[in-house]
Amino acid sequence: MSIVDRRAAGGLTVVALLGALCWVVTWGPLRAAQLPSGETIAAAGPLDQVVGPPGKALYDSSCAACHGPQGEGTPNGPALTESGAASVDFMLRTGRMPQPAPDQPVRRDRPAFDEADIQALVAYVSSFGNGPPIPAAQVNDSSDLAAGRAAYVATCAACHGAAGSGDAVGGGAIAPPLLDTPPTQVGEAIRIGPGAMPAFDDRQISDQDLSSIAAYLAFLRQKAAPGGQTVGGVGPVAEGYVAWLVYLVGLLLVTRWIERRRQRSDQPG
Amino acid sequence: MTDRSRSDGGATELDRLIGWLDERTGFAEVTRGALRKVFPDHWSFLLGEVALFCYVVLVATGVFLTFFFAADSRPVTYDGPYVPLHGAQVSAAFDSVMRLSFEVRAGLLMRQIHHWAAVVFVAAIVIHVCRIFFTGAFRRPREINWLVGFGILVLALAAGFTGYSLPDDLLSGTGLRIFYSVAESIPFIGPWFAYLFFGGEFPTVELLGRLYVFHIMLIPALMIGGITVHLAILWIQKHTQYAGGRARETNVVGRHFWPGQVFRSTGLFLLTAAIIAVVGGLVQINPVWVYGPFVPFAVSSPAQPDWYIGWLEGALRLGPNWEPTILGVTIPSLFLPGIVVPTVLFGGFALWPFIEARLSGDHREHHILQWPWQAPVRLAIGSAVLTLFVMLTIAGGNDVLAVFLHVGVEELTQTLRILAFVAPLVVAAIAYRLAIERRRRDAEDEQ
Amino acid sequence: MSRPPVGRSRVEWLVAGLFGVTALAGVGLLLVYVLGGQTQVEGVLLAIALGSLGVGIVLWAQDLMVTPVVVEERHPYGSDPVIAADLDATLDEEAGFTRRRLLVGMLLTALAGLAAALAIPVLSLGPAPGRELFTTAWRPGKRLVGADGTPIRATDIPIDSLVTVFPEGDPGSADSQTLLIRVPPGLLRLDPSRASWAPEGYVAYSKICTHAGCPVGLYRASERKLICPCHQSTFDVLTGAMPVFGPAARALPQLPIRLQPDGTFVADGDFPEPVGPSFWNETS
Repeated sequence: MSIVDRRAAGGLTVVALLGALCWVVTWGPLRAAQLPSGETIAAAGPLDQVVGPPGKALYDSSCAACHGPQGEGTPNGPALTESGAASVDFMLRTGRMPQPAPDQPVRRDRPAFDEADIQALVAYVSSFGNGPPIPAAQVNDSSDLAAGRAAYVATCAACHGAAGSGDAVGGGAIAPPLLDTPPTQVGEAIRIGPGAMPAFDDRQISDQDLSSIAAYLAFLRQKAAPGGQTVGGVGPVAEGYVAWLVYLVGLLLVTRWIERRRQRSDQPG
Repeated sequence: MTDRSRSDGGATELDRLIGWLDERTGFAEVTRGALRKVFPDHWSFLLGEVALFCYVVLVATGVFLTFFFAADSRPVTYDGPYVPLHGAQVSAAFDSVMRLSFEVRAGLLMRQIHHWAAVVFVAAIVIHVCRIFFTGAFRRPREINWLVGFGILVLALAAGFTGYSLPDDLLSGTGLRIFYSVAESIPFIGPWFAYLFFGGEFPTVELLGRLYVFHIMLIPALMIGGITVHLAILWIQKHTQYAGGRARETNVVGRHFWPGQVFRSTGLFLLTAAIIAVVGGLVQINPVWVYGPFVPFAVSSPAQPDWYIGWLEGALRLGPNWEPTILGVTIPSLFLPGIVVPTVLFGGFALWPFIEARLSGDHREHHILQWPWQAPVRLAIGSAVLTLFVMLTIAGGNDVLAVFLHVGVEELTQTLRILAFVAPLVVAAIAYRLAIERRRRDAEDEQ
Repeated sequence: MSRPPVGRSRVEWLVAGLFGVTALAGVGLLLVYVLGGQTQVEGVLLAIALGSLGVGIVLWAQDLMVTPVVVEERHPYGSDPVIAADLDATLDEEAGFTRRRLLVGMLLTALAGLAAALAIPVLSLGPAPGRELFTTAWRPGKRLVGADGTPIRATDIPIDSLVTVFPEGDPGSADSQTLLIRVPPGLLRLDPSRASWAPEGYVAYSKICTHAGCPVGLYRASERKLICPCHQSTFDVLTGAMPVFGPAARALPQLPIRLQPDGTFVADGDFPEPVGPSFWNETS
């Protein structure tokens, strides 16, 4: 290969590496280094009339062992008499329930039931007693994003992050990322306080504010990154890794390329 | 240089210009000497230039930003195009950054290039310092330049901290609160000093303006002066070089400053700026509209400073909850990790050339560089300190890391507390052994 | 020494082409700007413009120039000892400068006094701390209100939830920010002297972390633990916000509160110890 060809090859290698760098920080592995988000079935909202297996049969086979035949609770699982539709719907759709074993920490997972079964169970279990209904979280063009942002920063951002990226809260618990969470699920979590999360009723966060928060999260997901790729939304930690990646992969290679030994131009003078 | 033996026998325009200037200033001789000055041409000698060019980008974009930023704490109501902040009470400073990001063309690009250049600038300095340290370039007669470089590093940290605190957003305001508390923790003078710097009890309306004065006036003035001295000393003392070929302690082997070095350095500047520009356009950094304005009773997590302050953040997270009261004087738990540890580390760092000269007994001049393994003790100590800084920086992001690794944050913190002591020792031992082995192999090869 | 022209080489065409790319990218940038601007496109075009120019210039240096390796001799740094001695003599030319001890002494005294006088304005930068760090805006009888100024009622807070409160008249006050937490009444295990400060399971603590001053905004409701996001200091609500993990060494100060018949709360006084991070004389 002549000097010119090697020169050009070196230049093209630098360009290719820069392109690879761009890919890594934008669509590639770094972007995937985000907090885990579980798969969920989008909530259907208020209950429709669905013909399916009765909720009682499902409950008896999947839930009664830990929660008791009438939802009165057992040593293995709490009572469900105060649960309400929101709680049941949330737990089933996010796969937190049913749990594989009673002593495990409650974790997000793939849902175990399909849509019809979930609705049947919700209807059945919420009949055990009183609890928060499934909130109607409306997200549309007339949503009050400013109110949503204010409420979110005041109440939610400390655990879930200003960017909705989630964070560890200690004690083995994680406040999950919220950008992919359907609005109804956001509303349900606010009302029931699942896991380590406190519950907020409609005196602290009104139904209006609840919808606004869900709308704000949807906005964050779609329209809050005019600066480019967000690298996980976790702030300076990820930005620091990118800075070092940029330096080590970009600038160091550039300095090496600039000072490569050339045959012709460096003759002893 | 200029070829005066042109066939037409006349002088070129350049000749005439040089003559005109030289008659008035006598600059030709000095300039000729400068252009012919010899610089060795190893790639590792460009690392300082990378840092310098990052700084040039910072100043250029920084000047642009100063035309739009308002260092004013007064509350205003936001009514710009970013809908989620409509009607929010924000400071005029935050409002000006929002305007710059959403309403000024190329404003967001300039802001992001400025911030990316800052985080890369410190990384470039760190790598440059590593090269200087591990090759022994700080030895006599270059101790002064080491100290000047240390000053530049500290100024860079201060510039970054004050800079990202200017938008008065929720994340950087939290960092300012921590800075205030660390200052407050100094026995006897802490609260007095914190009040002096901030203008009272946190949060104060005066602080923003003061940060601005530091960020655009005091620190850049000192920085540019320091860089000038840094380069002047380098110029006068001539650059060091690696052993090999015709290199000796008494000469410099390389190429002339003009044209080879100038062109290469110019190219390096442009490529540095290009890389920072592409990251500045494609990767979002510090989205202050997501954090929102600083409110003293709200907070977001994860909460970290920019990476180059991360070592201090990690020290605070790993620090023990000791808060003894001795003779009525409380020693706050922040004091040890926040004041004592940095003072020891940075003090040792600054004085290293003198420490090493004392320990090794070597007070001779050196212009030939060592390969890192040729000084095993220095390699071990430097590796250990570097590892400590890396552990502390990682600890600064322990909550993000805990989620990424699927471990509990408390367990990770306890592990890092141990690793912060153990890892540097292990790395030092390994580095030392490898260096000794390599030195022995080199000695055998020479026989 | 200049190269004799031998016709344009491939490298020369390449470099010329790269410079052309820069020119085009510059025009492109101008166009994007005129059309309204877009951050990502601007960044990429700027990078192309700068990068092409940079690569071109480096290729020019590496391939089109002859930059031979040369050797330059170093010269010793120190000046001629005769000159260094002359410097010493020059400084001594005012005969006996260092021997006029009275003048030198008074000169130093004058400079010290002047320095003190010039340093005084620096002290205008900040007031003396005084007792400010020991007090907040809480006073006996002050009602607990939310950030919007409306009084908080007991029924506003579900069990195991919490809200940030301030003294009435100072909503949003930084040093008075307080957490009002509702726990199941039988679970509280406070110091007996403080048990009456937490009526019916409602307990109030300062929200300012005693480690480095961040708002303690995270709450693991199932375990009744408050966590500070800055350095993960963890406080146990049931035992008087004692630190149970992390670098904080002091409990969050507790605010004495009383439940009024109308369901609102009032404070019974200020916090009993300074809020926020410790300082050297906080026990005085």
